[in-house]
Amino acid sequence: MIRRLVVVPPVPALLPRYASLTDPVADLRRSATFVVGAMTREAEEVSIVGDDPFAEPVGRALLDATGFAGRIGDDAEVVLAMANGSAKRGEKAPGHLDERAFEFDDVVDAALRSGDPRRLAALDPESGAELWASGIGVLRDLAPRLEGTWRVSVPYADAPYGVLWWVAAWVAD
Amino acid sequence: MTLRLGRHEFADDRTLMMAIVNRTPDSFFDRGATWAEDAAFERVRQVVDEGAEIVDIGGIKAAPGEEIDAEEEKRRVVDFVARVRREWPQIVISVDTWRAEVARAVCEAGADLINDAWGGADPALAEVAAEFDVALVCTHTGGVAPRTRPHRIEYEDVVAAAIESTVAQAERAVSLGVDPESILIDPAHDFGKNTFHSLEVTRRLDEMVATGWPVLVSLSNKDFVGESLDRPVGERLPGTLAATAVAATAGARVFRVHQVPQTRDVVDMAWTIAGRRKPARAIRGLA
Repeated sequence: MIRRLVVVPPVPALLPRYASLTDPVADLRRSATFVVGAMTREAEEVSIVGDDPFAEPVGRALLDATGFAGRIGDDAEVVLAMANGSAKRGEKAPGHLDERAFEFDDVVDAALRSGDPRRLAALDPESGAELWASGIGVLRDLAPRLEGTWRVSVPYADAPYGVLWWVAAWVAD
Repeated sequence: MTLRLGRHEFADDRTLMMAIVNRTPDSFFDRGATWAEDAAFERVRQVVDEGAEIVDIGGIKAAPGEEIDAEEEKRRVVDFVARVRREWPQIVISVDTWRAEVARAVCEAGADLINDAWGGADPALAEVAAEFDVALVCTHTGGVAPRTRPHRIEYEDVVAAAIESTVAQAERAVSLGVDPESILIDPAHDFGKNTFHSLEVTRRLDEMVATGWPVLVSLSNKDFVGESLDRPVGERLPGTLAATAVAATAGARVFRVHQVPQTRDVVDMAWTIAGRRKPARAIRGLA
């Protein structure tokens, strides 16, 4: 059973090999590193789940950045869910503008802030795929493993480059 | 290796712009534009604003011409060095001179680096660098006397000759007490070289870099660029920048230049392509 869930986006710019002199994702990095560090500090094992080719490397990079010394395995009680909203939120967004992106992202945003696993279970991965979101099916599929009530915080929610990114933490009561 | 230029230190992943500041009435590129002291001072202000790390102050043009004795050379540069030192404590001050007597005077006035552009013509120059704990540029001129043009010079292997000469000067300087972290070597394009020699030195600059001594190149608007492209002075910037890109890719560390911002961009781009410098800010395809 999952006791702690962290939602962070699989943003390639977070990888050390794609570092710049001036970090273009400094705010996201700061928030994601802080939350991943706080949520995994005492964990012996952490799972990384996602459906993007960057999910696992970015999850590992964030764990490395926090000095995580435990194992990475399947079905751990602490889970990093690598997910983001639509990448079609503007004419300069990676997927250009799709007006449906905003409503879709609002639904995901509300679900992430609710602390209610049923809201995650109701997410629509097909729309997510059309709108270049990532990890929506993963969030939906995690819902059955999120029993009970949850304390939630979402310290980061922004789309500086046309992709909606969240850093969200769910802690089981 | 860390590069220490007098009172300034630079990590080994840094490239440096050395901006040329002529206190001469007759240098080939600016033709006396900064002959007046205040004009030269404004030139320093401009290149500092443009981000140059080093100013290279010279009182005698490289080409043959009116004889300038040590007293006149000192009149042109010593007080000027002191004035620049007072105004810009953070800038590295280099002085382009082959005379130990002039080097001593400018070191007392606050110079950090002696640019011995004539290949050790005055053997006492390195002793002055050691005495004042300043840096030294060791150059290859093929043995020609200061201010002489190359005439029918030939080398069996110009790059080997440049390496042998500059490394020998560097090792001699160390033996005299110059800090090994305060020595640069310079193949000296066009000095004791025809255009083919300078092109070969450019093409094979990686061999000089492989010596381990940090390499300075002085390419800016020179005749080997002009002859390669059939361009007069004033139309040599693209050719200079192409040569700069090749030298930077090979690993040159210090670039003696007239045009600072353009050279800075070319060097940064070449080092970024080479993987020695990160992009300034990359997000394309990475969000």
